[in-house]
Amino acid sequence: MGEVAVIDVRTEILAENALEASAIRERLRADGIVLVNITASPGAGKTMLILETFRRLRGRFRIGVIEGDVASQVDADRMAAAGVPTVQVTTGGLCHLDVPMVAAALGRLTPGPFDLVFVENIGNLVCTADFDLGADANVVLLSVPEGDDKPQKYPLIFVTSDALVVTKTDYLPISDFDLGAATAGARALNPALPIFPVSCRNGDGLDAWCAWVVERVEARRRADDHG
Amino acid sequence: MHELAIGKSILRLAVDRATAAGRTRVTAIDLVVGELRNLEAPTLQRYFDHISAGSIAEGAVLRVTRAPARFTCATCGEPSPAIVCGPCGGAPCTLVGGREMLVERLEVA
Repeated sequence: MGEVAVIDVRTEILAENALEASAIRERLRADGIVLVNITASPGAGKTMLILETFRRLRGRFRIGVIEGDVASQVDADRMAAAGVPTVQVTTGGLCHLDVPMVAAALGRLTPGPFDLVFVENIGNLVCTADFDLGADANVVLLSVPEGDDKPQKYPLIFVTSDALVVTKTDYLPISDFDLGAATAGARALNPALPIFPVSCRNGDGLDAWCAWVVERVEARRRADDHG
Repeated sequence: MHELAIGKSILRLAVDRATAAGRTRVTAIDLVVGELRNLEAPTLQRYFDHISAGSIAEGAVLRVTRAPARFTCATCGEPSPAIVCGPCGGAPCTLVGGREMLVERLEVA
């Protein structure tokens, strides 16, 4: 055995994940697919938001969904019942999706081709923040019943997200949730963060949210047209 | 539980670099982790002990240094420790540090 020595490494621990994410991002770009990663706590309304977005945009884009869950196929069944092309990914306990899981699921998603694919990540505001999936947009949901202090409690996910959707706003009249406080908390971490208060129950705010999604797809098409 | 996935990446990196340098044992791994990263050092060590068993990094101590969140002011260009600029009061400042997660160095034998 040699003498004790020090090796300078200075390498990002998730460098490999970052490379995989870049690779899938390029592949999606070549295939003309916009990938939107939806993250939230369990029960924040991820499935409902995707279903309502699908209903509003299905005439315009070919939309698919990758459903991530620790166990069960409950959400995929809901999607399938609504006619959404869906692939269920069951992680068997793992708390986040990663690039290889998403890449494999994209390969199984039929019938393509797709313009827009939503990834419903595992219900978790902690672990999901650390893993770049190669998505064009990362969206975090915060439901009114959870409380307006989540940006302070789980800062990283609000830093890494491209939009915040405040869901279940129909609960606002019977809640202490302060939309101004939630907005201020999130923007302190991510100053330009677009914020969409919505209710999937009464439809409030969904047009603005859908317009943002449409713009992501249109922006991709414009970029493709200009080489 | 993301500590498990991160632990596996650290192990792979440490074993690869130590082996490439002709070393047969990793005794310590210095990490730099930004304070915005959700990482529990004791949990990471526990998972690492488990997954490194039987490898050349078995028994390696993980030493974590937390790096503070750092901002740069968009108005005056000065570094700032917070979202509102210390020197000029401008806001918002841009986050430039606090999300890093690096293997800094290895102690090997």
